[in-house]
Amino acid sequence: MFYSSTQRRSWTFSGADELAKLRCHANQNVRERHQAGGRDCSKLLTPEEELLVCQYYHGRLRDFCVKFNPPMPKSVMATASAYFKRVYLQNSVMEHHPKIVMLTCVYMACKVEEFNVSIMQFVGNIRARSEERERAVDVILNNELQLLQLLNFHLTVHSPIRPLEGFLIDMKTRHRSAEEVENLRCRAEEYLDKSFLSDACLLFPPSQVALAALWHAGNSVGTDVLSYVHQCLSKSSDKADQSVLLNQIKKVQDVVGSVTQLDASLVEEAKAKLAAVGSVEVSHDSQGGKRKLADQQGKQAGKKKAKQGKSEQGEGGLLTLSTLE
Amino acid sequence: MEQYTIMERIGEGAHGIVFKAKHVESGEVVALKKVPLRRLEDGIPNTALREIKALQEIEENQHVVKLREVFPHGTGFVLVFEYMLSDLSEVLRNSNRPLTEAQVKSYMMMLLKGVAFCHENNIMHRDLKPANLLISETGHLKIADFGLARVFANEDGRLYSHQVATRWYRAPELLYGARKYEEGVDLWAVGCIFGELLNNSPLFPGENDIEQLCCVLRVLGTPNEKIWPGMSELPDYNKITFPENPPIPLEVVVPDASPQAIDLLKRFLVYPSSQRVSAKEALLHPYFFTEPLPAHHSELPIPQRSSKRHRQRGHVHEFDVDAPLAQSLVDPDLLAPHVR
Repeated sequence: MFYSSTQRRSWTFSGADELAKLRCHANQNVRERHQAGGRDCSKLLTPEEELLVCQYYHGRLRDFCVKFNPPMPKSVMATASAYFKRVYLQNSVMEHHPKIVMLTCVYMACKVEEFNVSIMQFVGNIRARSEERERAVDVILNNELQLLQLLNFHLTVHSPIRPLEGFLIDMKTRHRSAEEVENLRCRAEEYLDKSFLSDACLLFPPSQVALAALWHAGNSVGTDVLSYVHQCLSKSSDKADQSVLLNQIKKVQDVVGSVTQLDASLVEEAKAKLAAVGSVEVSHDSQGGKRKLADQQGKQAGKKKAKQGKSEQGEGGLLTLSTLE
Repeated sequence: MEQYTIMERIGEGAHGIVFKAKHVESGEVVALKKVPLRRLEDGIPNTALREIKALQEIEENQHVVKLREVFPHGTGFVLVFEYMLSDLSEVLRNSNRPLTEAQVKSYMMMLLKGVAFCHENNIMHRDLKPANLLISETGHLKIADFGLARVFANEDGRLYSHQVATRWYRAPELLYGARKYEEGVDLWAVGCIFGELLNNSPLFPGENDIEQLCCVLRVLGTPNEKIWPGMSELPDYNKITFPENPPIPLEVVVPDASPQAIDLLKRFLVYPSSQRVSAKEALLHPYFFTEPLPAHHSELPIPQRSSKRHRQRGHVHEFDVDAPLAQSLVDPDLLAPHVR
């Protein structure tokens, strides 16, 4: 139930402004820590550049899911997308490299959505040499727990996929002929795919995103969805009530519509910057994390260290994975 | 982890060790379930994720154990639950006097309320058994251990594992290898637990999976396509055949139960999963509304996990109605030397 979900309680925000503020805050945190360490901040990524990098890797996430073999249900992509969005709302790409987070998000989403693939099967989908895949295994498994923590252990994602299915069934039974409704499906699903890349999952209940998808499909196919909304969905014939709903759909469309083709040269620039600063910050941070871990695990320290050495190597290895660029 | 001081080890759960601990700040006693993440081949096990998932989304309910928080610890993480004194398997084992009908009714009512709540939230537990039904110090029963729980909101007909549920409480469709099933598996388990409460011994104590099926068939009779439509399509249907065997009336199997109890039991223990009475409906059964009425929670037995020291110093919070009043009072003479 969405109403009582952690998604509604903890991961649905009031508007684009709030999201921007959170992202700026994450960026600011890195800057402050950098400054405290007496280092030069001018080379750090700006919030805008961070967003660009995120959008780029989100696109990569989608491609990875679409090409995944065996074919994965859409719900896995929806969940992985939401995880990715949630992570970079409160964290900077300079703390957690998006390439690693992206893969870990998809792997976690596979488990949560009960799409059972083994880790070997999973990394088999990374187009890389076999030793690089081995390293990817280490990196993903080493980052699972951290991802859980970044997500505050909130794992359930309510995607608009099921609400859309519900609307289609409802329309068929109460409003229009089955064929006419089925004509909407393809366009509506395309729209949802696009919505996964947007901030819609952080701003709206899934049912509203689904309705916006239906609306969009109606407009492009030439089927009247408005009359369905009016006759079947509005509680009353009250004009004010209806305009609230329509307004909300408009808002969803604005957010989903803002997903545009990225400027390749700007992306390259930001990525280069991340490669320069990011690696410093990443390794610095993971060192800190590991030290803490080693302290806690005092007794098994020896054994642990060997493993950590391996994982460090792994991270470095994945960062140079050219095929993932 | 610094927020808690560990008091003692309570036991071992499906995954990880469970400790009794005290929250330093509030002084509240909690149960900590440490889930270690040995480097398993595929990383964090699904069972752990499922438990977190199910418990994070479920709203608070009086009959479901509450997850207070989750935090990472070392190479694994810790689930913090409210502390529960005991569980139903211990109640069954320790009660030197058999449970009264009112007490059985009370347990069944709490169990059904919890199950109804889970099912309303689209969660099937898949491993209901007395050991997973915890008893609080006030006598309340709460469902725990969601390690096998699944959110069953799936429309695309994906398959589930049939290796769920502890054998004695495993529904017949699971024993026949079904990979598609519904809440019915929980309702079968409820029936088994009900029978166990009435008889004070497990209803179908199979030693292995084949014998488990024999146990069920012996009581319910050999099923056929007529009484269990679709059974011949179950994966393991052709692997094993049983001789024709008429059912034994439940009145004989559970001799001391009232007719109302038998009637309700019959509604849980039926072959076709869809015909089992839902938890919500079962709560409306006349069984719960006829004398003797379900016992108040203060009239339920409260066994101890660590049985040695408990009874000696009775505690007011334990609601022992039989304990003399004097036990919960402080003797003024003991205080006298400290009062200036």
